[in-house]
Amino acid sequence: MMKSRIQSMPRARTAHAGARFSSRRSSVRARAEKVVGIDLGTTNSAVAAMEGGKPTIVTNAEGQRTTPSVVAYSKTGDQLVGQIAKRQAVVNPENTFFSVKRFIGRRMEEVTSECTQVPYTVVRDANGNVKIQCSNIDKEFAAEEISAQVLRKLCEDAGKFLGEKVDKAVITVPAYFNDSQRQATKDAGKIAGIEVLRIINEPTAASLAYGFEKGSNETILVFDLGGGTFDVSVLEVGDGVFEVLSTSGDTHLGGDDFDKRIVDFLADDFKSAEGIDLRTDKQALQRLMEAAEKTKQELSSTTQSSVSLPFITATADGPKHIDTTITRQKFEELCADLIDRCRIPVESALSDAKLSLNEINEVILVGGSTRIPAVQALVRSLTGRDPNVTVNPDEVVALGAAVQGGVLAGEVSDIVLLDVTPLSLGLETLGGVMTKIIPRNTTLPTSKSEVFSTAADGQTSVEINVLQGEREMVTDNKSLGNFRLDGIPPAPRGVPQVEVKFDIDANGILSVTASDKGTGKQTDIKITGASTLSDNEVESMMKDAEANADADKEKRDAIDTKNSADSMLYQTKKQLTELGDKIPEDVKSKVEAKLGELEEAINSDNTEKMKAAQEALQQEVMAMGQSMYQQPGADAGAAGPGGPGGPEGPGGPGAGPSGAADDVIDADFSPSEDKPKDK
Amino acid sequence: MASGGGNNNNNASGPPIGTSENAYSILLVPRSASAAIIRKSYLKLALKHHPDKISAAASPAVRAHHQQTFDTIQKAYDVLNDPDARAALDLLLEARDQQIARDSARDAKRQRLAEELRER
Repeated sequence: MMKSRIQSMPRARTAHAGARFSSRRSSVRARAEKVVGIDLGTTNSAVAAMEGGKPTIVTNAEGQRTTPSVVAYSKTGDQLVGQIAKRQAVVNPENTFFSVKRFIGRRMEEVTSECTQVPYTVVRDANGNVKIQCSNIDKEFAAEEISAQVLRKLCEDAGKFLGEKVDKAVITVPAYFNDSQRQATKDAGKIAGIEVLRIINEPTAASLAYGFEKGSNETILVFDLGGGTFDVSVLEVGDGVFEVLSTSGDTHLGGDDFDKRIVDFLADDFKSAEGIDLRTDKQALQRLMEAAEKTKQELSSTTQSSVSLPFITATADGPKHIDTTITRQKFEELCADLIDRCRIPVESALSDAKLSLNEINEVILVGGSTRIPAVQALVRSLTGRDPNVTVNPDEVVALGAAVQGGVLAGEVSDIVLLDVTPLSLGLETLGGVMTKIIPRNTTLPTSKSEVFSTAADGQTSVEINVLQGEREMVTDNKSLGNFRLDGIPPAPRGVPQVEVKFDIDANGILSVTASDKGTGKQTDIKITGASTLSDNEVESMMKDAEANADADKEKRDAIDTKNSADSMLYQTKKQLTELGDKIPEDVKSKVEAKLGELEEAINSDNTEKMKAAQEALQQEVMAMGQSMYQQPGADAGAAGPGGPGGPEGPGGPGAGPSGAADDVIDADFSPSEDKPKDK
Repeated sequence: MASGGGNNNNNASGPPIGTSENAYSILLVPRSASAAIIRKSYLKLALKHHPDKISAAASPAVRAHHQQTFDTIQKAYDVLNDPDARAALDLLLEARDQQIARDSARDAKRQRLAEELRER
């Protein structure tokens, strides 16, 4: 009985594995490819995928539904991403990079206030763009590279969860992100080795997840206050069409700012009591920031929260501590102006949509910061209705991105998204004035042409400064770069006619093409002064990241191999002593010889040799197992050791088990194997 | 340095007047259609022709064609969705109708004259 059980188990397992394999293969054939939706947040990120026609959150390797958007480099140069990076931030503040989204696609002069809020060092590169310094590996990173590392982890974890390689994604950005920030996010995906099928706006994604299974026609307002940005979108949803009517926002307002107010309050308090500014001490600042975030979160459910930071610093008099209580009222007082700033985008989005408040059917809250009671109160007072709280503010954006992924993959057929460009696009004209070409809230994709001529006789090139923003003067708007048209045939001024075509694709990303109307020839365009990476830079960063990923994989493989070799060595030795003289001498000596080889390989730290030696030992151990069964009275002995710990298990040839016994065991075995699969 | 000149009028109002295509025919609605009917038809067409609905495997030429179609639909809707633009378009279409009526009347007259000549 015992014997037949051992023999039949592997067989049952094989049968099931085969069934599972074929069912997976057929499901792969049914859908084209897995496209995940990624909410790449300022503080946290989330991934979702379409599973059985529904968007579902994909948990990370740690089993969490969101992953901190944090990347760190340890003293030994190891790269850490996610929760593990966040956890060590206090002891490694200068090499732990968070809130990088605030810097992506920006020029240094746009982020002067952000720079002072982070404990790591942000510098200006030769082009005036933002670079992040990492002292532990002595390298300067672009924000795109840091985001790429987060994306890489998200996709790798999602791949493990879904059981197939994930290299296609829809990534969300704040609706109010400008062209450079969108392009930079797309570049981050490319550096991570991901094909970014689409960049979509966070509030739009939220509306997709919200309205995905709703048939009714509704006008909704999405209020999205995240970790670093604030967006408001007004949409009309019905008949499968999600049409964005208007969008507005503030890219410098988010949960981080609320934390900062608590940090400043605590630090100012401490300074007046002790005369020390904790903000100049990076480690103390990091601890303050973490305590502030925790306090803020607690104050959403309780009316007061205690802050206890023992040994925050030390003076000649001894160690100093912070031990205080913050009430919700105090917190709201500290953040009153921030909360008030949320008002303006709501009003401008409504006026752009030419709607009044009573024409809005639902208000949907998105982003962790909408849990703040004062924010909810503001929404209530602004809109005169209770906001819809049926969606999870941390997950809804990723879910919506997954729906859009499904649309692009052809998996979801009856939905289309009509999004708009959040900011007007224009050109610099005489006198430093911006002339708008594509107004904000224009439905995407869209295109527009302009004809340019020369200002001087014989001029062969024209320079165009492309701008994005709502202000009158050039200097108040974002310059996307200077587009230089070369190759215009020499002619008297005003004669050449160069047609420049501006295309904004469905990602909200601009591309410019130009042609000479006279000759029909394409004109070359050179872009300078953009706050995004050049193609060459993206390419080299991509290679860099790939090389690092390969190196990491090798490292991990080496560690895994060594661990399994160690364990096999131990298991086999244990077995040899347990079985003792039951093993035939010739078999035993063979096993011992291979054991010696493996031990040697482990000592020499050679991964390849370890693998080979492990395999060789496996063969001998199996032979040993076989010889045990072939001995008379082997039943008792065989039940003892189980298996040698190897992955194959004891695969001895069947000794003719009775059919009846087999049936009983199969029936007893398969339900437990089937259960998790059915769910 | 650059002098921007506007030929943007042909972008805003769709195909040039004088051809049989106009914003109404593109959106498959009669000239008397209400705003709600126009919108419904636009959404239906968008669901069909938006670039997202075109398979990623389609050839660049096919994709470009659909892009163009969506662009035309969108611009037609932009005109009809704006009461001022729609009124201006109605005026133009009316003028064109009158011209066509005049032309055909003149053609009919000319034909009659020609026939009369032949009879003599």
